[in-house]
Amino acid sequence: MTAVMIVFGILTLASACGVVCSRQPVHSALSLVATLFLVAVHFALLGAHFVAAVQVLVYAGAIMVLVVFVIMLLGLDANVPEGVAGWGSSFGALLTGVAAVVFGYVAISGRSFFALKEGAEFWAVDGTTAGIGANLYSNHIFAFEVTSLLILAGIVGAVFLGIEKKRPLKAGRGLKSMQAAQKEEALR
Amino acid sequence: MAAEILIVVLKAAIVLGALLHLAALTIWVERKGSALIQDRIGANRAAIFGFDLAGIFNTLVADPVKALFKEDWVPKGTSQFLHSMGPFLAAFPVLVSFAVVPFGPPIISGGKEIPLQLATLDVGILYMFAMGSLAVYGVVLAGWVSNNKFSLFGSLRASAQMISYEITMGISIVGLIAIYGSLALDEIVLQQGKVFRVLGLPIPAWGIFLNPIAFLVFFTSMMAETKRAPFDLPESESEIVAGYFTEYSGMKFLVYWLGEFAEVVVASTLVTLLFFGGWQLPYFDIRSIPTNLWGYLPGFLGFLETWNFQWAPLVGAMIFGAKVSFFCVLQVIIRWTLPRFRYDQLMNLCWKIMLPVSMLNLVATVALLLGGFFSLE
Repeated sequence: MTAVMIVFGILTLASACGVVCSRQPVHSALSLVATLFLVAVHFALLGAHFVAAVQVLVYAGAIMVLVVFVIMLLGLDANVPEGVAGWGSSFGALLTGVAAVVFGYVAISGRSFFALKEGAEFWAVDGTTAGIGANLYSNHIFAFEVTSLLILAGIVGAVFLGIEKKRPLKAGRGLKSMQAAQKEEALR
Repeated sequence: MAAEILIVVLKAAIVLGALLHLAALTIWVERKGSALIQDRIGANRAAIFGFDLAGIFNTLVADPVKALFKEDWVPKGTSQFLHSMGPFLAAFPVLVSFAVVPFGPPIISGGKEIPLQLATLDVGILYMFAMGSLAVYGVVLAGWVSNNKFSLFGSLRASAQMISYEITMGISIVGLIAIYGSLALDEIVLQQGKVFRVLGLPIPAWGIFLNPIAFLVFFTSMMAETKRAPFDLPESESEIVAGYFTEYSGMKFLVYWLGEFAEVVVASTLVTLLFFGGWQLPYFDIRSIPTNLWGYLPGFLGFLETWNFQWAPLVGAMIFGAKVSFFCVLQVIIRWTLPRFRYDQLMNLCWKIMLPVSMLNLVATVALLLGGFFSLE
């Protein structure tokens, strides 16, 4: 079991590196798919089959397809302009380095910076479908409902943005009216 | 321990072998069946000693050998590696999704039950959906890596279509899962051995009787997921050459093709498992077949008096295979009967008709369930 975990851990890290290291956006996206899939493997190894299946179904199967779809639709390729690495990238690299040192220290020494409170203990969460369902709809029902409201707001917003306007807008607003104005100009 | 490993290896061989053989035979049914439907002769060129076995030698021996020896052509200016990954990514998720299919009642050996299912997951149906949702990458990658506008159009169409129909496919069966109360496929099949009563009449608790609207939506969505006519927009020959696999030749093309037919088999399997009782027969529990048939047999078979054999797993697997084969053939017939949709019709069907219908169906099903209409006994 441990050997399987180590092998898949290395694979996960390798594909995660592939996300940031490859110049082709499509390669990055495919590496991210692989990473998300391999994280699901870790969930499955921990016995949380439901979470593993949902991880693949939602992240690797649905969200990443949209990402790949958009990358392909926009025709992005490897022509990344030189000199994009500004202060933001340096700051990110610094943060990542600090995180790597901290995680490495914890992993090697086996100690945590954040000691557990007196009397606190870890407990195994029931990873089965029934266990997650019971937990989600009793202890976390408020968070669950609020999240669904948030998603609903997102859907309404997307529909509002995507809806086709029946009446033409005032000149200068919206792509269609702009095109119409250009057409008129060309006719003149 | 060794025996357990042997059992798992055997089961894996049976499951993978059955899937690939069914897919190959579906290819033959497609080639010869389409010829019958269109009043042609169909594949009849290859024969061994004058026997062509109704085209089996042609479609299942000569064509793959030809594909193996063809030149493997990769378009210029793309990654050879990703080009080769395409067919693999398209076929792999389909093949592994068969691992959770229960294809018969358990064999009882030495007091232990050996389930006829490679992996008894408690989220079997979600696992199959998850693997199905990964199948889109093979198609998307093929279109992008081919360096060809037709391929790109094909894969863009495919990804939009597959994502849209995944939604209706998922929503349509939520009601059924609520009735059966489980995501495990073996449990769902067991539940379908029960009956429910309408006006006092016992009706088998198959999904098709519990929820016929869900069956229509689900079957249509599965047909769209397999990207075959009338939903074959991603590869429509008359518009975009061959769609996403335009630039694939030889064995790579054949792997795409085999993956597509394996998807047909998986679709038939899901329909059988969820709506047609899996290996169960209506009103008759095949597990009650006695292991010793002595007493049911005519007199001259008296030497079988001491012969015991567990008929239930064998009969169950055969019933399951027959049901799956029926839906494979049905899909071939539908593919050669209906014309192709236009793209806006395809999207309207999914988002404006099937999605509202499946949602209303879900609400109605749950209301009936809470009202005690679907009390399985």
